[in-house]
Amino acid sequence: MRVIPDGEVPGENHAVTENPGPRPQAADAVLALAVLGVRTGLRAGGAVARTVRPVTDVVLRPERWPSKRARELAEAGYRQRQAALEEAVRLYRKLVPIVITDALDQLDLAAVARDVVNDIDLPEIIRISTGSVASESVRDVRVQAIEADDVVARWFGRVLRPWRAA
Amino acid sequence: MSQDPAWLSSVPQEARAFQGRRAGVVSRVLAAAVDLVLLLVVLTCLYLGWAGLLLVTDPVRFHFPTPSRVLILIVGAVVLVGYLTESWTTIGRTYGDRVLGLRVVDRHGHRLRHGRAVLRALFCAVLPIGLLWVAVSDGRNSIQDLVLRTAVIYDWSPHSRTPPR
Repeated sequence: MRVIPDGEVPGENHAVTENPGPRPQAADAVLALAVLGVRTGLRAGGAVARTVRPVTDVVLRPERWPSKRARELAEAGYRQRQAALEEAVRLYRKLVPIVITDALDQLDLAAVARDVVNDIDLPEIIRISTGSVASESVRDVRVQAIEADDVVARWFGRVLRPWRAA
Repeated sequence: MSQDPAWLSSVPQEARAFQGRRAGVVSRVLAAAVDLVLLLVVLTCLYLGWAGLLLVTDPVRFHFPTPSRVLILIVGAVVLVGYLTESWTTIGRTYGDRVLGLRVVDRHGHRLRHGRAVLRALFCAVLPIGLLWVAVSDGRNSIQDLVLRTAVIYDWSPHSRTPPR
């Protein structure tokens, strides 16, 4: 945008002050080139597809093949493919249980279960989940009371039974 | 897995070494203080219940009752003896004992029978200061324990029959 200073007549030829802003960089040229290449490639591909479509429509669709023998050949191949697929599914369903059963037989599930149970501190979980035992604060009170019991017992022991301490 | 007995497995690791040891005076006095607060709450509830009954039966001439000191002592002693006896014979501990992780047992480590529990409760009600003998006793016995051959042990487990050491 041009800035017209005070006293300047519009239309006269003066130096124009350009606002600083984003400018094109070299990478933009590369980007434009890439976009152009992609567009050109797409257009070329579309043109080729349109050109060869009459041929591919015939070649890729057996029902349009002019030769009856070729069409029968395609039908036979289709049926064989379906049969092979069904056979593969049947084989899969037959083999998977055998493989899994064999794998389970080879695993010592009792030992695995025992290891898992051993790794779990079940009493601690029960203790926490049931809440039958005191909470952390009550536990602290108990422990501190036990320590105080020992301190009092030691003190009275020293006072009342000094020969034992010596 | 831990080789501790089943009853001990529910006790936190850091407290297992104390289980079965005779409890000291601090724990026992704290437990008694909790029970005393509970007794006061029960007595207050009884008083309020009595006042409520008076209010319902004769609301016109209602005034809060003023029981004599003797009556308060008698009712308090009855409630205390009943509470201690039932607690020791049924679960082996009062609420204060439960909070502090204590249990009252006989010399074999078993729960008190009814007769011994009644005697001990009466003894505690008449001579509560006998509890302080735990501090000077070598075996951490109160006077009640010495006379009735009972013991109070650390026992954090909900159910156990640990003989006192």
